[in-house]
Amino acid sequence: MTVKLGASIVVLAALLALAAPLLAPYGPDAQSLADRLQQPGSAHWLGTDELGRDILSRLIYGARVTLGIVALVSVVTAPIGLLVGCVAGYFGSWVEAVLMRVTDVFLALPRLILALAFVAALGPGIVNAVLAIAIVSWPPYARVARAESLTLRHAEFIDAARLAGASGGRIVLRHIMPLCLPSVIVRMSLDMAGVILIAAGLGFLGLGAQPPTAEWGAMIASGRQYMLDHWWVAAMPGIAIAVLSLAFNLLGDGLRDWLDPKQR
Amino acid sequence: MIEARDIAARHGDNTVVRGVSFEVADGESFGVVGESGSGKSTLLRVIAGLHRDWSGELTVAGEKQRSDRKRDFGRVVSMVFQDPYGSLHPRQTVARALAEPLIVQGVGDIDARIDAALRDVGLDSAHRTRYPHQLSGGQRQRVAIARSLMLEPKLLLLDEPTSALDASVQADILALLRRVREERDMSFVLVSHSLAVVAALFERAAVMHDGSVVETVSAADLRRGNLHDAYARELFAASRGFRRAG
Amino acid sequence: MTDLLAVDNLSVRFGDCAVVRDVSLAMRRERVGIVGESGAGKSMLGRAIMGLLPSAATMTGSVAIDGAPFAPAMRGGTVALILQDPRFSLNPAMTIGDQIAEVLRRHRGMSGRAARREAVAGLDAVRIRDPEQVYGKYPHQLSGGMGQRAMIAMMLAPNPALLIADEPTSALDASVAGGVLALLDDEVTKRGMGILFISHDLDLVANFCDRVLVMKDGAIVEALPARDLPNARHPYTRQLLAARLRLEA
Repeated sequence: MTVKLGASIVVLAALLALAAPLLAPYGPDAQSLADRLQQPGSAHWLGTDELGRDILSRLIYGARVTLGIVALVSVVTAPIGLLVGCVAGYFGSWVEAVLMRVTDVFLALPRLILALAFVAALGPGIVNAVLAIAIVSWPPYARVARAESLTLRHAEFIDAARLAGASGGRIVLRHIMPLCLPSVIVRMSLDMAGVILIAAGLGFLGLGAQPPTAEWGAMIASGRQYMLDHWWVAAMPGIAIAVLSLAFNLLGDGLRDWLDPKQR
Repeated sequence: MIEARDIAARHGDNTVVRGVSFEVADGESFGVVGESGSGKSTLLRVIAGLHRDWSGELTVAGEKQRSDRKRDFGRVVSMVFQDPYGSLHPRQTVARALAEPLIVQGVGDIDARIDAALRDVGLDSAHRTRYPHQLSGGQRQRVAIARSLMLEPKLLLLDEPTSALDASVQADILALLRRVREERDMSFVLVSHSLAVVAALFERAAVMHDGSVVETVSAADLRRGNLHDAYARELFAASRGFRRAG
Repeated sequence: MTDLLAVDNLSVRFGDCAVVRDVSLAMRRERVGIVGESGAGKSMLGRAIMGLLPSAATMTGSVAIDGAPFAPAMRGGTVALILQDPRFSLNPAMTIGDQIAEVLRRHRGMSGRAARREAVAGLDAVRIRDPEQVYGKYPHQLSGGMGQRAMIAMMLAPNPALLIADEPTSALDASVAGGVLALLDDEVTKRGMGILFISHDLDLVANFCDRVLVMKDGAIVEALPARDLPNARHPYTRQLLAARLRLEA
């Protein structure tokens, strides 16, 4: 059940993001100072912000940025983490020691702060934000993959492959990595909630997508000063972040249950 | 085929094989019987090159062996493992599992060889696309045997190949092994905890206890219980089965 | 005299799949063996009698112990179950002695000290050397044979009337199994218990039990006295007989 709920929200968000131009009632940058700070109503379902831009439309376009970052980060980090973890777990000895210590170093540092440092060094912008988040997000996958490969290393089908003459590299790539994939996928879904928050955090601090691009974190930042009288400007993007994070959590949770019995 | 002298092997700090020496001639079938902890499986893995922590002299197929095996070792020696549920990759089809040794060693004509191998073990091409969890224990073991024969090895090592199987399936697999042995010119070394299994298939057998070989007998003597060593006699008695007191 | 165990039309289903079909059996204080290959349903039958089926299973039919319908309270007290691998069937987080003492406190209402003394005595009775020391050990620290003996001590502590043994020696080496079986033999005779012995080993069941029930695909295909086994009629039983590997000259 949780899988379905989580998945439906994620899919809905993805569809909204993809079809943004068709679905958003207004352009994300369409300013109308006469309509600034309007309450949610029939013309603007979620109200307008300080420049008169429709918040709903900005949320929909903002979903593109957020989901885009999430997708890019996953595509980069999961394979790297998977490879590092499987190599460490299978070969053991000094290879494992070295790789895992490197992983530990990255794990020990607080993610948001490290991402901030990288963005500060590389400069603000979506691409750099993705890079920064990716650099701090790969270690958990390495851990998960290593744990799986440690048990698989002693499996008899691995022995059979070794005996047939398969090289270590072949065994890791063709035999071990495919089996570690489910755990990594589960971890990925759970992690995405964190990625969304970091991306929003960077955006909030002005280090992610730059204005006038609609980005949920940045929307909260600019809506901050109007919180008392015009709560929707900051609250709506906040709710969007919360809902999407929750959706990914549910998805990951449900996936873990769904994939587990099969693995057994 | 095999000349082993003073083989000793360890698992961490424990010595599990002590000073074992034996010989297996070309084309001969040799059994190793022992209970759990006797070191028989470790000995087999040392021969296969799967266990690194060993010392002594080992010559297989005329070549002296050290810790690593050469890449084409798999063309000479092959192994069938105990657990039919664990010896096949859970995400690979039967065809993929059978193709692996061929791909690794660069042997061509893969499809034809796969079909021939399946026929040899009493399965048919319908099984090519099955996954291990769709096969019974006996079928999995047949696939494992087919896989071990793909590279036409000269020596086949078997680690308790029927322990995890039902009695009737065990009988089938043993019949299959007998047939394979007749049709091909190979040496066999089979390890088992069951005296009956070893005596059924093999010409000579070694009894292992606590890491050492305590006695080596012919199969005929094994069946009759013509054993000298005390432990071997005890094992023989236990293998006859339980007799009720009352 | 009522039967010790009366099973009537017992069926166990997982969704559409029937793993035990319409099994009926009755036994006194005797030794009954259930033999069959894996998948025959014999373990499920044992669990169904004890009311220990997984939640996904549905059961129909009835089980009566000494005339009374089975109730969960009977578990451990009147009916006991011995499983194959003590590493998985004993609580890994408690010492052996504590587990036996707990059984004694619960089923025989003993006090802490008395339970401890009795537990040590129980370990001694199953021929474990140095029972005081084994009392403090955890299941994973025991060898297979010792673990099974400890399991037997624990299960027999409350003096059950019926013992269900599901492959009690299948995971043990031949030399160790003999000792455990001799122990079971002794205890069952001494206490006048009934035992339902489930195994895939036809010879073992034939030697240990008075009667043998052969199961295939969830149903009982033949029931006969153990000594009549060589003359079995059913083709499946004959198949099992033929498949046995014997050490013969």
